[in-house]
This record gives sequence, C-alpha cells and structure tokens, in this order.
Amino acid sequence: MAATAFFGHFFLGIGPGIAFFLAVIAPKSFVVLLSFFSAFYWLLVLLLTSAIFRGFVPLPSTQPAYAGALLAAVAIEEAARAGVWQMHKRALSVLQGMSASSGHSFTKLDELYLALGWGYGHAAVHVLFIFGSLLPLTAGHGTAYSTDCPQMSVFTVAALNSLGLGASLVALSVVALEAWGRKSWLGAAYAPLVHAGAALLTLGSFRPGGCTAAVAAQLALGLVNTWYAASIAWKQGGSSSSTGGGSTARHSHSSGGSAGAQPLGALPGDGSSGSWMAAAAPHGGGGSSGGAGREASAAIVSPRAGPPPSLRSRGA
Amino acid sequence: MASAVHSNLAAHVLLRVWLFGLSVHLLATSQAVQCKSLEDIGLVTTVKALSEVMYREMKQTGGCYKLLNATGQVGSQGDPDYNLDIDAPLVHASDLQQPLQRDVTVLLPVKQSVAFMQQLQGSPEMQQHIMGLLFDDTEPPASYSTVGPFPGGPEYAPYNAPSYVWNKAAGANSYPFASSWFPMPVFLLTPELAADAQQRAAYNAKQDPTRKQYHARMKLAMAAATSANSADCISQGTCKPLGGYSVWAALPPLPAAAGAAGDDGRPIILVVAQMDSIDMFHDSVQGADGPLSGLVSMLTALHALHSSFTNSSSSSSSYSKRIVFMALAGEPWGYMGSRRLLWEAASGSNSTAGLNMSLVEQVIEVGQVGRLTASPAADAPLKLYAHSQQGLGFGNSSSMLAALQAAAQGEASSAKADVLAASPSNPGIPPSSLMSFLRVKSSIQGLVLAEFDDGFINPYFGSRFDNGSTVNADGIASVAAVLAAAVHRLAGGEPAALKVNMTELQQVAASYAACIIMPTPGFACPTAAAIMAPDYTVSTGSATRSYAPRNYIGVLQYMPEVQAPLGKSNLARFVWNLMASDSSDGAFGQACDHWKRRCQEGQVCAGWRSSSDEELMGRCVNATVRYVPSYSTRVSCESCSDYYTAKWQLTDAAEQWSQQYSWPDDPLWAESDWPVGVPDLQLYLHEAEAVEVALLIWQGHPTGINQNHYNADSKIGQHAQLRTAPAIQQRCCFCCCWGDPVEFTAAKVVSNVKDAEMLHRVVVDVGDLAAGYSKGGQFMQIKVGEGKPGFFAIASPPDPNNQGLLEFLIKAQGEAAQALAGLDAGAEVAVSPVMGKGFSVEAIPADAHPTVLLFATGSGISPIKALIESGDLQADKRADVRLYYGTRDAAHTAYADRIPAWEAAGVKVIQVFSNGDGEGAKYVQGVFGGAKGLSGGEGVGVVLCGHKDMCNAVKELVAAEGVDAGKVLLNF
Repeated sequence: MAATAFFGHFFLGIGPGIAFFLAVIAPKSFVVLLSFFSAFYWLLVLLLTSAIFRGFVPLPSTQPAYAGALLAAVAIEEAARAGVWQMHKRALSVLQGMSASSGHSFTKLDELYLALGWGYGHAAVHVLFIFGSLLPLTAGHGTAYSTDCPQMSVFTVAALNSLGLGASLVALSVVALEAWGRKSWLGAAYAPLVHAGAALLTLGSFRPGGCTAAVAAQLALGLVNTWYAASIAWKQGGSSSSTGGGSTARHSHSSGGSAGAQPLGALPGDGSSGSWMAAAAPHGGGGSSGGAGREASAAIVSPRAGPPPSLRSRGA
Repeated sequence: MASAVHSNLAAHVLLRVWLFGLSVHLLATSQAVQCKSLEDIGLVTTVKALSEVMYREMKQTGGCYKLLNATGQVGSQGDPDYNLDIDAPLVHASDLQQPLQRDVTVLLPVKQSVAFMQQLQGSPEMQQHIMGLLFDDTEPPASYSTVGPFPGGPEYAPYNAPSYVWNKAAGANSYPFASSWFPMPVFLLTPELAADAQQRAAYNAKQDPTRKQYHARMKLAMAAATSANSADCISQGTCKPLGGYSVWAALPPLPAAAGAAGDDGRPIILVVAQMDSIDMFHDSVQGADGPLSGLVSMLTALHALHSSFTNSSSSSSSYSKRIVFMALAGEPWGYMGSRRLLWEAASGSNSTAGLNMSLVEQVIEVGQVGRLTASPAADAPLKLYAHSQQGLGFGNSSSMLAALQAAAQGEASSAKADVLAASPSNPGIPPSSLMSFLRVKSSIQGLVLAEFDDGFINPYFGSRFDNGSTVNADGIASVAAVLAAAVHRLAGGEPAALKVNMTELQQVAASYAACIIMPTPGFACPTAAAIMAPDYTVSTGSATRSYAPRNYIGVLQYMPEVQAPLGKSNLARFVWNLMASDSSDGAFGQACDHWKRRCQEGQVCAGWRSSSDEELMGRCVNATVRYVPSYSTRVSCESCSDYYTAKWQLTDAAEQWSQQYSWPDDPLWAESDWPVGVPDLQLYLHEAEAVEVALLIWQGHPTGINQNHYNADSKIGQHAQLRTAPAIQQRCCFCCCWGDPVEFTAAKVVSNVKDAEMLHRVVVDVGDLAAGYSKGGQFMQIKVGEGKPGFFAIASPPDPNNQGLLEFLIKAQGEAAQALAGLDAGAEVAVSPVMGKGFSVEAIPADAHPTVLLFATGSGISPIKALIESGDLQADKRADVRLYYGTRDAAHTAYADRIPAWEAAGVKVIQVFSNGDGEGAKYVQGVFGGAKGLSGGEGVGVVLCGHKDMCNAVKELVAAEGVDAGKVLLNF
C-alpha cells in the first residue's frame, strides 16, 4: 500500500499544481523561465527567513509563539515581494520596449502572466517545503497522526494545506503585482493580509479536531483567491494596453502592429501567436464573451509578419 | 547554461535549507501544517526525526535466532525471503480473542509467556494467525528459567535420577528453550520499546481493526530455514557450529623442557568453572550467578594465591601437586566444553599438552556462589555446600572436604564461611562439568561448591533475568578465600604460608564481577583495560560503544591460531590474560606479541593490547596458560585459519572415544546464518487500506477518514489521544537519551573551585540548555575539546532563574573529569542537552511516604544535593528523612558547608567515613544495616546515588525490610 499512499498524496498535494503548470505555464516559455527564477528567488528568501529563525528555535509550544513566528515570516515575505515588484517592473519596462520596437503588442494579460509566473515560483517553493519534504515518507508503510487531528494524517494535512496555500500564493502574486501597478494601495494590502490570514489559519490545527476546519478553510481561501485573481485577469486582461511597470514602462499600445516591421523576424519561430508571451493566450484571454475580452483576444492573436521573439525561440 | 547554474545552485541551497529543520521550514514558510504535532512531538525538527517518530525500530539485536541440533531445531525464524517482511497488527496477549479471525503480532508479557507458548505449541490455528511474538520483560516473574528441571540433561549425570529437580525455577515458570520452536519471528523488546508497544497495543484494542492500527514489521530471515537439523545445515553451509574457547592455566607452570608430554609428573588438582549461560534470546544472556559467580570466585582464588606468593618468600614451585585452573566454555550445550577438552586431551592436541588426565586426581568445580548471603543474622557465616558423587567406583572426596573445612576455619576464617557437605539424600552431584570428568575417569575425587544444597536457590537460573543485581561480590570473595586456602593445602602448601587479605579479595572479586557480569562498565573496566584490548559493539544509529559482556557462547566462524588472541571472545581473553598474570611468578620480561615477537618456550605473552605501541605490547611471563577450542566433537573444520576459506564438515573422528565412555549422543548445536539487516523490528502506525485507496482516487473524505469515530465515541477518542501522545513522546525521549547521536553545544566554565580532595565545584554557563533541567538527578554530558565526553549529574537545583548556570561536582578521575576539573573560569567546553529522567519523587509522595532514606557516596552527593535543594523532596512534610552520606574522610567530603542547610530543611545527615574506625561503620550500607530504624517497608522511599556496590547492598537491605522496588529511586 506504500505506492497507493505515495501517489495518493502526490496527486492530492502536487498534482493540481503540475496540471496547472502543464496547461497554463508550460506553453509560455518565458513564464516557465520566470517561474524558475521566481522559485530561486523565493528559495533565497526562505533561506534567509530560516536563518533568522534559527536563532529563535525551539519556540515555546504556544499558539502566540507560533502566531508570532508566522506573522514574522509573512512580514519578511511580503517585504521580499517589494523586490519582486521591482524586478517585475523592470522586466515589464524592458519587455514592453522590446515589443514596441518589434511591433508586437504587450497586453495587460501578458503582464498578468508574468505575475502568474512570479506567483507560481513562490507557491512551488512553499509546496516543496511544507509537503515535498514529507512526501518521501509516504512511500513507506507507516503514517503519522498528530494527537489533535485524528481525522487526517499529517501527510494529508500537509498535502491539502499546500494545495490551498499554493493556490493562494499564485493568486496573491497576480493580485498584488496588479494592484501595485495600479498603485492601488488597498489592493496591495490584500496580499499581505490574506497571506497572514492563510498562515494563521493553520493554527486551527492546535484545537482538537480543528484541523478539519482549518484545512477546509485553507482550501476555501485558495479558491476565493483564485477566483479573485481570475476576475482581475478577466477584467484587466481585457484591456488593450498595459499599465504595468509604472511611469517608465507606460506606453501606448500598438494594437495591430505593423506588418513587416519585425526586427526579429529572422529568428526561428516557435508558433504563430502574435502575443509577446507567445501561444496559448486564446484560452487565457477568454475571448468568449464581452467586447473587452474579444479585444484582448484580438490583441493577443493579432497577425504578425514574423514569429514572436520569445525567449524559447532565442534559446532554441 | 545560466539555467543549469541556477538549478545547481538552487539544489545546493535547497539542501542547506533542509538542514534547518522541518519546524523552521514550516514557520518560515508561513505554515504550521501540523501545528499540534509540533507541540506534542516537540523534538521533531527534521524529516529524519519525523521518520524516527513514525517507526520505532530495533535493529541488529533482540531476535530469537534459529538454532539446530542433531535432532531438530529451536528458536524462531521469519520469512525465509529476506525481502519479504512479516507485518501484522499488534495485539496484546490479553486481548487475543479466540478463535483468531485475522493475522496478528502478539505482545507477550513474560509473565504470561509460559502458558501462552504451551498453548501456541498445541494450536495450529494460533500458529497460522500469529505472525510474530514480541516478548515484554517489563515485569519479570518471581522465577523464570529457559532450561529444564535437570539442566544439561540427566543423561550426562553419573547417576540415574531423570526426574530429579535441581532447577527449582523450572516447571510452571519455565518453558525449556531446547524444546521451543516457533514458526514465526520472536523478538525480545527493549524496556523502552516494550513500554511503547504496550501503549500501541492498548490503542489497537480500542479501535475497529479496519481502521488505522499499529503494526509490527519483522525481518528475521534465517539462512537455514529449510534445514531440519544441524547436520543438514552444516552440510549445506547455512549454519555454523556453536563454539568458543576454554582456558586453562597451571600453577606451578609446566616446565619449559617437559617435552611432548608437557608435565613433570606432578598429580593435578583441577579447579573448574564454567564461562557462559543460556537463554532463548542470545543477545540478552546473563548468567551472573550461574555460572559467572563461580568463574569470578575461581579467578579471585588464583589471585589470592598469586598475591600471597608475591608478598612472601614462598612460591608455587614448592607444591607437590599442580593446580590447574580451568574455565570451560559451552557447557550449557551438552557439556560441549569439557567434552571437547577431554577429547583433545585424549587425542594429544597441543592445546592440552601437559594436561595429562592420568595425573588428574582431584577436581573442584565452583558452581553457583553469587547468591551467598549471611542468614539468619547479618554476622552469621555463609553456608557453602560441597557436593560429591557417592558410590562405588567414584573417588572419595572426603579429604577435599576436610581441606575446605579446615581452610574455612583456619587461614580463611576471615571469609566467615562454613563448608557443609551436601545432603546425602541428593542423588549425586548437581549438573556440572565434573560429570564429564567422572565419565572419563570415575576415580577422580570431585567436589562441586555451590550456594545450594538439594536444589538451585537461584530463581532465574538459565535465563536473562540472572543478572548482576542480585550477585553478592563479598560472598564470592569469601568462597575464593576458602577455595584458595583449600587448594593450597591440597597441593602440599604450608597452610600458614598463605595469607588471606579479605578486603583485597573483596575488591578483586568486585572488580572482576564489574568486568564480566555487569553490563557497565563491562569490559571497559580498568582491570580489562590493563590486560587486553576489548572488542565492543556500536548500536545502530549511535556512536556509543558497548563493552557489555555477551555470555552466549556464539559460533565459531573460523579458527585462527589457537593460542593467539585473534578470534577469541572478550571473556576468553580476559580469563587467559588474568590467568597468565596470576599463575606466573610475577616477573615480567621483555615486550612481546603473539606473532613476531614471541616469547621463549615456557613463557606466554601476557597483557598484549597492541603491537604498534611498545607500552601496549604484552610482557613475557613464566606461565602455562592455553586456549582450548570448544565445539562439537562431531564437526571439523578445513582450512579453518582463514575466515573466507573455513569450511565446516561432519566427522566421526571422536565416535569411538565417545562410545568408549558412553557419552550421550553429541547434540551438535549450530546456529543458522542470517543476512545483513537481520534482525529488524519496526513498530509503526499503519493507515487503513480504505483511506489510502480513497485518497488515491479522491472521492471526498473516504470512509475511515472523516467518520468522526473519535467524536462518536468520546471515550475511545479520548483514549486514542491519551495513547498516541505518550507513545510519540516516549519515542522522542528514547531518541535523545539512547539512540540519537548526542548534539553538543559550546558552553563556558564560569567558576571552578576545589571543594574537597579531588572534588571540584564547577559552574558552567550552558545557556538555553538549562531550560531542559527540571528535576534533581538529571545529568549532562560534558567534554573538553575533542576528548571523550563524561556524564555528570547536575548539583545545583532546577531553577528557572538560574540564567543558564548549572553547577557540577567533578571528581578528578577519568579523562573527561580530569580535563574538566583542570579548567579555569572562561574555558570553553561542549555540553549535551540535559538528560535523564531525574529522581522520580512523585513515586513517593510525602503524604504516603513519611520516611525517605537518601544514600550517597562520594561525588554521588551531587544529584542528591540537587534533589534536596530543589524542594521536590518535601522533606519538611515528612517525619523521617535521612541522608547517609559516605565519603573517605572529612577532607574528601564535598558540600560539607551545605549540610547545616540540609539539616534545616528537614534532612538528617548521617556522615560515614570509610577511613573511620570500626569494620561495620565503614560504609553507608553498613551503618544503615546496623540500625535501620524502620518498622517495615510500608511508607518508605529510598533514593540512591553512588558506588554500585553500595546501591546493590542498600537495595537488598531495604528489600529485606519490605520496601517495594518501585520506591527505590535511581537517577538512571
């Protein structure tokens, strides 16, 4: 039964993330690379956080102590998100410049995809830490239950928590970076607050039998955040111009581009997508209804005389 | 390229991050995924630690291994396929419901084991469904034995009394190992694992078997699984014969130029003792009373003779007879040692050269003498019984008895022992090696010295419970004194020439017993360290070395050079070197080893430890001491000097000789080989199958996950919680205290003040580690530099406001202690976390225990001080709290300045100086024993710390008063 338990937990905790990666991120080579970079960045952040915490462990086994530690960790990560924003802003500036000079469009949806990449790396590292590290143990024949959570093994709790929190972190990245771009401080506050809330939710496991509610709430929070991020994409992604990157990155959107103005046309192609982000946008752009959606879709799939200058193409 | 670099770097960083520990990960990543688990398994800070919590393991020990003899098999075995573990839910024997409906592993308290095994042997259904047996020795029975009423078998006796019961522990409380065969793996749990298994079994008993259950997973594959008897497995090469080495030494030594015969015609007096014991769990064989007390006594007697010669102008060369001291290995296995030795002597082997049986006139065997105690009064003489074989054809041993009695009344009178003839109603001599000698030469005058008359008084003979806790080293020394004086007389020595120093003999006997009987120090004892380089074992997952004696004979894998130490057990080498030293004339010659720098003829190389260092090489002494292989006469070994080429095979070379003396059939004991990784036992929580399947296909909360069965039955739910948490916590404790490598942390010496002779009060700033100190009696390991760590009890009381400062009383003795005692303030040391459970004073609450007796000797005052000053003892709420504090003299008394404060706290301090006047007042046990001031054991608690002999003596004294053993507190 060891294989059953291993794959059961694997599919539960990591399966959705992998499916999301394959369906949404993998087709966009730049987002794939950005996800890797993001993961590395967040790895460093967590390493730093761990190093700081090293001086404080073992913590007293009390909820306030754990809550304090959780909030401190959230604070560090949210501070690190400012660094993400800086890198995101610079990337937008460069990419928008490149796309403008090459006659490609750089849509709001593309911008959100970048935010998605940042968030996916963030989530992946968390999932690796809180669940991936435990996964090898599920390949054994034993399991482990904590005293106050007889309903689920620690591995099931970890899998479900990582699933819920992973979804939240991906979504929060989209929400946060989009809000920072709009300088919507209310929106920017959403991510740290919800992040802290998600972290504190896990303290519910301290209560006898509380893990069921805590895990359910974590999953629900993940769903809500995902819905919120999706709604942002739905609304903002439909706009025809990018507003991200701050003033230095703001530029006029060139909706159709001019055929034949492709300086990168000689590069090997990787598809026919007209978006800078290359490929697959028809699914994400959601051109099924509404004018804005159709506009975005049109922007993404606008015909080009040459192939898009995707990094995958360059690297190929 | 950049991506690859990033990947490598990320992997490296990830690896480092893992090292920070799981709890840090969880917190740092804003997760408290298993928050509660972090609380109740607080030491789980790494994935490895979680794995250790999940799986309680016992490796490389504890198995009941398969043995084979000429007619069958005994012991147990697991699945013959190494890769197939046996796995079944754990059920306590008391919870077994007949008929069995499912496969189970049974947790079997040893008290129930005899009846259970009898039932198992007769029930095919039980044999089918019981997949494994886990023995729980937590509560030893009042008596227990794994050998029958006539140990060794009545067929070896020179008389016909097959139903006579020598071993009174046999019967209702024993299940003879020789007739035990279990078709399922059988393990003996360690005390820690047994306690854990009890809780797991209790948990399972309350649960629906279809839900998650604690399982035992066992690996006990035996290579000789398909062999029906030892002849088969030896032919197939899947087992090895049981075997070891006997040792003998001659006093006076044989003349160097005695030729092939090796003797000068002097008649021989054999002094014999046995070396090993038996139990169904080989790793736990003890044999403290039977036979090791006899061995210690014999070696001490040899020392007494040597010491007397050294301190006088006389020597053993003046003896008209030669005394041969002989330690026989393998006697519990069909008298294998004596049979082999006699066969070797008959066949003229080099190992017995000079041991001419025709010259052997007298044999004195020292049997069980470890339980000799004075009764009915403390000053009454010890009663030592001399058993002889009566009847036509047997030698008349009355002169030997007379010599013993004369010695006991004469030069060995300080031993305070009476030698009595055993009851004439006995059928003959008790089971002993003397039987073998009488078989070959019935005219030998033979005696067996023992603590019993008509039957063993040892309730644990032939079992793992025959441990050192009940052995009286002073009694052994008394026997040694009488024995030495008697053989001195018998050999023709002038009685007055023998000087018996009982104090010295008691110390010698205690030191020998510490080496070969006690698990600690075992062969790490100073006596052994001075004469040999002992082998040791390292337990899995720990760097701790164990020098504990292993009193199971083991197997002979091969036979390197017989007279060299290679391939010999610790015990055989210990005995050989002691005999070499004490049977010599005391003149140590040139440095030597056993290979290149050999001694000249007539000499042996005593005390060799290493050839790489001149200091550790042996010294040539004029002595005759030999190893004699001990194994079945039915096997021989080809190319046996090399481990890889050795091949055992059957032989009938001794058949004619055996028939000549009507030996019973040689049982040919052999032990199965087993693969690496065996034995292995795991206890773990097994998820319900339905849960795992449901998780994989994810159909929402499957049956078994979210049925709230804990809540539906709150009692069961509560029970589950109560049961799981301690189980896990105990595991953590086990990890820290015994299994895991100890993690040392830097600490600083704050002050170092000499408080008494050799005793320093050292205050160390251990920082946060002090938070782990909660109870008087706990201790830490401390090491200086890269030296070995030492264990030191904490002397200061637990105090949350101590700001990390802990005080230790250091006796400047031993590597770590000497280094520590020599440090100045500011010096850096490394300290472990606080260890140990401390004194469990909650077991003796003040309201029910008005009397508490504290005993401390030397630096043992350290944890006692902590206990008194912690206030946990509540001395002011008890009527009678006494501290017996033993030291050498006032100058060696630590914390003398604290005594008034202890008195003020309600503790009456009775100081005892071992250099003081009066024989009985030298030791705390003597002072206490002289005036116990108790009216029964009810309401009495005892706290002990100090010299082991003191602890044992006090335990016996208070036990005699009726104090419950559970009320005697130690901090280990």
